[in-house]
Amino acid sequence: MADALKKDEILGLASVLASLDYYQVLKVDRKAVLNDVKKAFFRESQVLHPDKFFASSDVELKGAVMTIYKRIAEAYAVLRDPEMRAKYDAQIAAGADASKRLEKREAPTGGNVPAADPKAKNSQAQKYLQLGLMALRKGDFSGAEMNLQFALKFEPGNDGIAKKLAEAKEKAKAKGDTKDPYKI
Amino acid sequence: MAEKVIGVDLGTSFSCVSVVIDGNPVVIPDKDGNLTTPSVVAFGAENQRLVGWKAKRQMVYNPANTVSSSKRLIGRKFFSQEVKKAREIMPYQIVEGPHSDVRIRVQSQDYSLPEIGSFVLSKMKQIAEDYLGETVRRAVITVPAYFNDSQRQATKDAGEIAGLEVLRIINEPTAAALSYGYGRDLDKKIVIYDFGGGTFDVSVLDIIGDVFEVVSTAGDTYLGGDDIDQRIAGYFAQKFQEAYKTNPLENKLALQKLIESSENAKIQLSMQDEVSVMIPEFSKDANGTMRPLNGTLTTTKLADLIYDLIQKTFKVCDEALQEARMTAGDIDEVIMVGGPTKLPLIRQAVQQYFQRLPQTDVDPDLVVAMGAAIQAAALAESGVDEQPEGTEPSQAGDTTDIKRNPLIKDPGAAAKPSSLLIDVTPLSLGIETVGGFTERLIERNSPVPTDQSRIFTTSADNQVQVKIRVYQGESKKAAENDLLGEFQLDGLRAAPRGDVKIEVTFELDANGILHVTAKDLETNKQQVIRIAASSGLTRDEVAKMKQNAARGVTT
Repeated sequence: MADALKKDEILGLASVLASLDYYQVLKVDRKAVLNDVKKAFFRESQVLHPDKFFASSDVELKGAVMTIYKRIAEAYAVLRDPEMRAKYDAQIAAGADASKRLEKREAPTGGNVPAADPKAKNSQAQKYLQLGLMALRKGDFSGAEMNLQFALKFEPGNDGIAKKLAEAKEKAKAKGDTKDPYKI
Repeated sequence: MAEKVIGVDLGTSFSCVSVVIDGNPVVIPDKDGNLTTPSVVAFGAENQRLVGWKAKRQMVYNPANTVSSSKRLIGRKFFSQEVKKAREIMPYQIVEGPHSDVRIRVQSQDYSLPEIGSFVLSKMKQIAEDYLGETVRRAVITVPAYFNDSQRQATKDAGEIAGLEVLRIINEPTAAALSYGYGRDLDKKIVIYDFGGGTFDVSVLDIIGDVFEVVSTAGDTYLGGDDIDQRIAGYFAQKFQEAYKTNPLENKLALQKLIESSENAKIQLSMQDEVSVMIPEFSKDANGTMRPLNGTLTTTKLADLIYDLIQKTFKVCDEALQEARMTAGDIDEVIMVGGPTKLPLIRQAVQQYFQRLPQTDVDPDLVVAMGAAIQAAALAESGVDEQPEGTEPSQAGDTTDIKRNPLIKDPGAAAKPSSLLIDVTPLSLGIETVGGFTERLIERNSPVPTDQSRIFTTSADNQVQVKIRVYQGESKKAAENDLLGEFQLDGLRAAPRGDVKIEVTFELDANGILHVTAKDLETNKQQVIRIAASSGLTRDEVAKMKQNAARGVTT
């Protein structure tokens, strides 16, 4: 059975946690085999599992324990899984500045609410606005630019149309299709 | 002495209460000596309630006002498949509640499922108080491992309505493992095969000394002993129909009698190979003449009737072992929990699957409550062992040293076994991504507590707000999982899609409660929500029900 840690040791550990990699968190060697990783996890759990402090009234201590234990559990989850461990080892090898936690890929969110489409009061403006928005969605940025310009002529003060026009211009430029309508 | 914390197994069919006394988990008997209490609530005149044995005994004569197996409905949505199924077979009236939750209508009054659960819990609390001679205020309650957040929260609400502070909700198979390994200093990999009244769970645990690690867990929340009873009932109903050309199941009283006889037949088949079923005034035939039911059921026939149910349990076992990266051969011990596991045909099937004799030392009806009591004691006694040197934890009872049992070697000091439970989250947690897919942040079977972050991007051009929808479940399609909650982060910079980055963090605490944070990485603006899983009740409703419950009369 591991010895109980004193409060200042626990607070100290919590304060340096961000600089420790998973191996350091579990106090195991880089070459540690699965069984060593498991033993280390059990050993650290015995000392630092939040349930060991459940009835304590020391909020600061409990907070530090929670922070540390979450990292211990994470380290264990990664190091016991050969695939994740290989990824993590590669991440550490790639650079000293790399995050000490396993990096995860990005993903686009779902259930999204895109910015509402602008509306025009003038019926002619609305007609060209719709054509412009449709072109924008299709990726026909120069077409969108033209239609939005017409829409803005029928309703000059409309901010929403102006913004969409600016967007279409920017995108057309980025795409490199600033077609000169007069060029043959 | 510190106030006692009870452990309660709130089962589909039966409940059981236990408490740790001097380091030993003790199952608490009621005044008649019963170790378990039926989870049945009946309503009589003038707000009078019957709970337990008294309620079960009058069930056949008062089916519409008697609520049994209500655990099958707790925390579920009214329009779910499970509730639809229950409405077909339950003799009491099931109606929709105000939050698309489920209510039970008895004598024109609607009761929520947490309220029904609270009546049973109050009874268990009472049994403990009568035995201990002191007030009980705190409890650890068990739930099937595969219960989702809503079902767990609803169970917690039931505790609160009953006037109990619920220190922790723990999983039934885990509790059984605690009870099995407590104080035995084992080094083993074990499987808990938990076939309850209404649910089936499998957990794989690794026990070293006093540390119990749940490696994986899997289950089916709508598969249990009740299904066996229904198969037996269906078999006899068919025989009756063949003889008398009328379906007896259309008559609620006949159905109730038949279900009860089927349950008894099942229990008897745990001890013998053949059982006769006899209901004198069962149901009327096509001409309106009352006919009896006479029949026999053999173990062989039962095996035939429930073959697919047993196979279903092994599919769940496959899943749990695979998740644990183990095979049946890696397992040192198989422990059976739940009444149906007393059936020899189930024991044989399990023995065949795991290639080893299942453990029979533990009483499948009591282990779960005992494990809950062990966890209750571990939590209550934690963090208080930081005694300054030289100061004995002096208690009033210290003078009784002379009377101490000589068999207990080292009284007071290290005699009490300890236990630490490292549990996992049974279901994955994630958010919806573009196209209606789920992106998991916390994988199922991750040890808790845990936190995980992920960077998400906008999925449309000029998207200035993003909706974070939090789901629980294993399906890749978000809509097939349980929606736990949703919130919006707005004020994002209008930019091409993918440009704006949002960091979403999931934090799961030891109670299984999820906290979700979404942060706009450009502005550092953030939104935090605590996913207070909806049990189907608001906090106000729970408080009100608590007051009402205190007023009701229970006998």
